[in-house]
Amino acid sequence: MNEDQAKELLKKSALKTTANFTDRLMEQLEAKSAAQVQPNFPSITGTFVLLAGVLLLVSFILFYTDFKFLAEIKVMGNAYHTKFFVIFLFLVLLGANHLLKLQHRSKSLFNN
Amino acid sequence: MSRNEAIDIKLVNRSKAGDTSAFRDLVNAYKDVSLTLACSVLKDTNLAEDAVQTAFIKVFEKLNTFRQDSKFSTWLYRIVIHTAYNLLKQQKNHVQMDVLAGSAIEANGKTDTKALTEQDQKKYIHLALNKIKPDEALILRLFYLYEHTIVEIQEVTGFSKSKIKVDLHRGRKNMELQLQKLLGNEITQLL
Repeated sequence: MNEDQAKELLKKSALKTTANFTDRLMEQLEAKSAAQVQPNFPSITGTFVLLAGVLLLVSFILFYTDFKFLAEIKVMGNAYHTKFFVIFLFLVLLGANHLLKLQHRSKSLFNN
Repeated sequence: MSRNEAIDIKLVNRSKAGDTSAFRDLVNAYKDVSLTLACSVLKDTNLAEDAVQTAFIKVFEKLNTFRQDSKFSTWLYRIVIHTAYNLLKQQKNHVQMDVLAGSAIEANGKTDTKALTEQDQKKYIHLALNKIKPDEALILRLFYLYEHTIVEIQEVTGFSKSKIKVDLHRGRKNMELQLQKLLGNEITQLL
């Protein structure tokens, strides 16, 4: 069999898909995207509630309680209120960072 | 086979933007070629169709990663062929099935002395291609049916140039041998 004969024969070897091939495929794609699991991250409302709760708790500890025993811990010394303030700031920053991250993730998700 | 690459790029971009009708157009444009290539590897039309469906789903999911540094068709065929070879690995008994199917037609072919219709010719060519190695059938079809160059075949399959040349030569020889076995003297009606 020479080149031309091979070419002639192989031209007859093309196959065709079944009639409903595209419809089946598109149905599968639709089903797949519908079944896609929503990303599992906490809701913004939930995060706000949690953050507010933590802030209230920290504020309460800072302004309405006087845990003297903390002062007795040598590491804390007499400046335990300052330490609380640092913790308070840290928590606020942590919360803000978490919210920014959530916003970034949700944006990139919807862009895709 | 020569399809305007600009049309593909437009359809790809529209598909990326979420236009499913554009993706449908891409599927319609490439489904038959993809099936033919997958069938060269899998030797079974139903299996090949499954492989092509899987490949198109992969393409849809990975469309955002297509950087357009190669033709869309090259990228697509690469995925189709890769999917087909993966499915082939999973099919342990494909050889036995093929042999059975082949021998049934073989008996029919040798007793039939009438002139071969166009449909018969296609059937025997398909059978002969099913009996040769997947690599050879794939390369034969890419080269002679879809008129790809050796370099393009290399891009699509990942095979070396020397392997492609050897398989082209062997594939032609083996295909003739299989047709001879299937048709006997009636092979002259084909060649």
